[in-house]
Amino acid sequence: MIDGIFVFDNVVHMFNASEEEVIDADGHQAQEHWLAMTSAGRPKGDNERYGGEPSKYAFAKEWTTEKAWQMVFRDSDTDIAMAQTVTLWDFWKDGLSSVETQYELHKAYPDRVLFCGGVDPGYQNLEDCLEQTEIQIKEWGATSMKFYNAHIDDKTWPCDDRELAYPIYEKSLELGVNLLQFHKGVPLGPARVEDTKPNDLQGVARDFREANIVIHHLSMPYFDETVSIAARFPNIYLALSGNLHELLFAPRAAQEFMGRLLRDVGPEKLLWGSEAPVMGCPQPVLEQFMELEIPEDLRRGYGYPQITREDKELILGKNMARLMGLDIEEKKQELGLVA
Amino acid sequence: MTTSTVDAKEREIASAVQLRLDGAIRPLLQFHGGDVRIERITQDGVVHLDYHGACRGCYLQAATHFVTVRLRLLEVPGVTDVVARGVRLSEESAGRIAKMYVAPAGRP
Repeated sequence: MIDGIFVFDNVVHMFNASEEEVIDADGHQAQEHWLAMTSAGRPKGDNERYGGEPSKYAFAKEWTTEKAWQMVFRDSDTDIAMAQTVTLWDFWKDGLSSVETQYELHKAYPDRVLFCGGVDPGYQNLEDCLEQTEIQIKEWGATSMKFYNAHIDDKTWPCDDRELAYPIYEKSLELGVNLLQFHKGVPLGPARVEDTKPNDLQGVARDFREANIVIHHLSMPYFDETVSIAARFPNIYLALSGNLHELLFAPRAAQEFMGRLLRDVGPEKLLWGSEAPVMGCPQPVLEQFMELEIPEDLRRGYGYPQITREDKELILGKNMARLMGLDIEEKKQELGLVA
Repeated sequence: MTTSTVDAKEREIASAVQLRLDGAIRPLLQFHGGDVRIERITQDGVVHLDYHGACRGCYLQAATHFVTVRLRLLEVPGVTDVVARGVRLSEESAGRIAKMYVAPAGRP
């Protein structure tokens, strides 16, 4: 807990970005881009502390469950986290964060780590997607599913595709998993930025009112669209995955987007996500977030409300706990966080 | 005041607020596909509203609330404030609007 607030990290990744994983020229472009982007956003010193060297290549390796636990739970105030699958088979042989390794982290620390599965109809036929969804949920205990729809080589698929995508959502819901998460924005390597727009999730939100849909990364650069969509659809939530790292190097930018989100979307729909270990140890970001205030010129000029402690409680853990049906007080007892 | 007197007064305020909403406010919102309903009215006269339909997520929702709706409902005797779910504006901006649109005498 940080200052008495329960921290439920929406997104961590057990990733493997070792050189052997990278697929050809496109993969190397994506790898270079991804390493540079994540290195720039990490807390100062994390490259050396966790990767053993100061350069961006410090994190070009495979993470072990022990190392991930150290960074997320030993070195930060994170209480529980969700390990999310990444299916970017365009660039990395195992997709960057394979289903198996996320499950391994959950298996290693079942009291702390939830497992988020993933399938991809751009790369798997529908029958395999449905079979995998069933295995990941029924046998491996996935409590959420994550989707990456933007790919290269014409493998991009619309999230509101009734033939390719809807059967997967239906299967997830049928098996009791109603938290569907989507990577939007932040194209990697040569992927097209326009393929990452969040617009196709409007149809999904309307057609699956019983699902809760999470848009990641504020779909940057499609922030305005994301705000409009999250404000209008009751079942759409926003994971601030990596976005709050701007508090470290561009605090004004973070104040601006947080102010806008508080005014137009509401704190009940925002989810803290660290992207650890990709984006380094969560602790400095958590601390900066606890210090975050919306400055007077933004309040005067844009009407952005001041962020409150109650807002931070919601964002850091209560919202995600509500979506997962998790009783925070019970979990605190289980983890020995209260006397 | 007795409990029954308080209840009667609250019902009177609620009725007057609903009348004002139905007559002067909701048609304006419905014209744009939006609407508003009363969630509750507290004993000290604070009206809690919930905007829905096209109002939800509209970037002008805050302006509509503070300029059009709140000031009209403050004219109803017994109403001391009007707040809305999901409408959150800085105190600075809310105060600026209040100064630009003069509120009824004696009201915030």
